[in-house]
Amino acid sequence: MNEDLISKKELLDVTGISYGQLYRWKRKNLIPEQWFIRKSSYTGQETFFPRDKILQRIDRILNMKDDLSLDALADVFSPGLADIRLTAGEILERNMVTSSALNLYIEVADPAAQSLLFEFDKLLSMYVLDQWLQSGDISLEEGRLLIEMLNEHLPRIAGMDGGIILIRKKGVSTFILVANDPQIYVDPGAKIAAHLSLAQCTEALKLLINGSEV
Amino acid sequence: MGSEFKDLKINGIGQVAGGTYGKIVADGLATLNGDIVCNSLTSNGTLKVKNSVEAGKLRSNGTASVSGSVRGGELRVDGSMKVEGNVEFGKIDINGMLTLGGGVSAEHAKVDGGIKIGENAEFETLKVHGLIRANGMINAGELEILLEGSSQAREIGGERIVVRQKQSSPRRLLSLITPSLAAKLTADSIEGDLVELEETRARIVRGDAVKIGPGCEIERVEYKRHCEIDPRASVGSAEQV
Repeated sequence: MNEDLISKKELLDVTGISYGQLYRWKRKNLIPEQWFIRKSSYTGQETFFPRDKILQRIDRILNMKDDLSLDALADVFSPGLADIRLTAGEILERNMVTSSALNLYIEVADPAAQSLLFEFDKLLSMYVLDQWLQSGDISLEEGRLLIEMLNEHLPRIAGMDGGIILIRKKGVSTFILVANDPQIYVDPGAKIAAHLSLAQCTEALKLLINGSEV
Repeated sequence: MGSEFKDLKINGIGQVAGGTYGKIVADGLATLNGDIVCNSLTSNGTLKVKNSVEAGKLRSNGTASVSGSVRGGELRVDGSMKVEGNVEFGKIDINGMLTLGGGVSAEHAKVDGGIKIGENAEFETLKVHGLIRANGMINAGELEILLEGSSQAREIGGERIVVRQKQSSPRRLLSLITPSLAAKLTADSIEGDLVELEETRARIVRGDAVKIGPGCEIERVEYKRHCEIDPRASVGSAEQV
């Protein structure tokens, strides 16, 4: 994995936070242990972070720490599924997903409209669907495929830092759900049409549920 | 937890099967088989835990050894305790020695004697009078070490880090004869908002306000606001960043 890294020193310079804050947030699990990457440098062992992830996370923490306690924030950032059930009405009311995504989801996953309440993993599936429908990355037909796939497999990687990838080759599309969101490469005929981090979707969705602005 | 669970008392030699209990009191030699959950566990004598324990209050007077992990509300050790796994409590109070193979986390911890940690340590506040050794990192909001014995950590980070040497300790004389017994802290890096050190050897010290006291050997100091170096300390370079 050849991610762009930022050194601890540079991170503190750029964000203006102190060592104390950084360590405090780590203790509160706002910054995952795996992001602390120890590497040798010419001055000895230094700690590095994945640049984009840590900068976005610190920006979020700084923006939200006045509204939410550190423990509540830790909940938002944890990849674990929140314990929540919402009705279709509540989902639309909170603008979590558009009504077209919700309708498509119900049509495919629950045609008899039996369940009135949707758990977090279902909300997450809807959210992914909605993101891609809105961005135009997928068609409605592909959306159906996506829902079926997420319904079947999403619970298996619950709580992991997963990713979902859409690959197209000669007009045929395939969704791939992966745990731990690795870097993937495809043959020249194929194309990675879309890629979403489930951890980031989970985070965004939890923020919508908590009613804060993203 | 209510008191609907059975209490247990052991006098002499006894064994406890895994399960959920109210209050467990063991005087003598007690062996706990299986995972135990209880309101409180008090051992006077020798305690052997074959699996893990979760206790509202865990108190050991004497010696204790745990093959798994221990967690709960309060831990107090008078004597020595060895844990192969992790230790996780709200409050930890050690008089004697706690040795653990895994990591430790606690809101507040006080150690009189020593604590040896196999992996990482996280505390909101930690006060040590004696020695602390961690193979990993010590992350503490407030860390105070009154050195008596050789201490070490790979990394130390936190908000306020204060390391002092005990005045007029008989170890000073001892350290002249056997340097390995010297009351000294060795760490690769020490980073905090406020860092005050004595008798510390480190590759790098970084902080907002840094005070390097007598007996320190620091390769490099990086500070933001303020830096003070005692003439009895040796510092390779100090730079305001």
